[in-house]
Amino acid sequence: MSNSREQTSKTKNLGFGRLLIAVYAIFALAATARASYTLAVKFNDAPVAYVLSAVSAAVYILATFALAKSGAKWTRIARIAVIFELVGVIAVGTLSFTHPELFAHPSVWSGFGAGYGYVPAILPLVGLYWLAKRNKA
Amino acid sequence: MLDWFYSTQLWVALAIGLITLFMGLFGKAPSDLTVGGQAIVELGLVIQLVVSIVLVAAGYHAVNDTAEFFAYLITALIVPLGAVFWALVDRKSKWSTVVLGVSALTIAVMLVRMHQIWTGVYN
Repeated sequence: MSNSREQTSKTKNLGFGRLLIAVYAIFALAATARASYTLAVKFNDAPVAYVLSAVSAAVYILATFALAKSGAKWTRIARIAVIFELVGVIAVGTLSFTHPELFAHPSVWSGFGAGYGYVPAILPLVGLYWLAKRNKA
Repeated sequence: MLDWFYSTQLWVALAIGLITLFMGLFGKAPSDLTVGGQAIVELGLVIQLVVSIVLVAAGYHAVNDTAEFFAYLITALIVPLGAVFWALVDRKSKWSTVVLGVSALTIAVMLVRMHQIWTGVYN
């Protein structure tokens, strides 16, 4: 009985979260491909931007897996990854305007993710909202 | 990139993406039709890959960066495969159809970016 109830609430919780996880997966893939390419080919042009690209790729991968897993531990990891991402996109977004020389080449987070339709700035907000909602349910 | 093939591929990916997205939002689980749409998108990318290899072999190259162009193309080839895999694992959810739609729309965006890299219109 309690098992079947847990099952339904689990399925319900996943609903919209599946789309969120899929978008995170696409960003994890895109950021990883981009970071590998730039680190391999033009690392010396803008090392700061490219190291950040690699860091953001790692955070997207972690967030994708953590969001997909259930349980308190993974929820906490997901929340930390998503908050890190939010701080990252705000910090890098601001720095890319105040210190453009550090970001001569674009990274996922420069210009608050303008090159990616601002999805990198919106994604962590949606992620936090969904984590809060799932936790309450 | 051949211009006419790029345009066709872009509009097909956009149309498939939007139709699939709406079918998902209106509650349809993945079907032969929506998974077939991904097959068309993937086939287009494979053709694009072959065409691009032939063009490069014949001495053409991307105005910006040929390696980056191929990095995008190879990444793009993975996206519909992942989306279909997702739909096969989670075959009863409407969200799987939404994911298929997002996949095709992602390909449309990546095609635009690939065209920019190839033609050098925009850095």
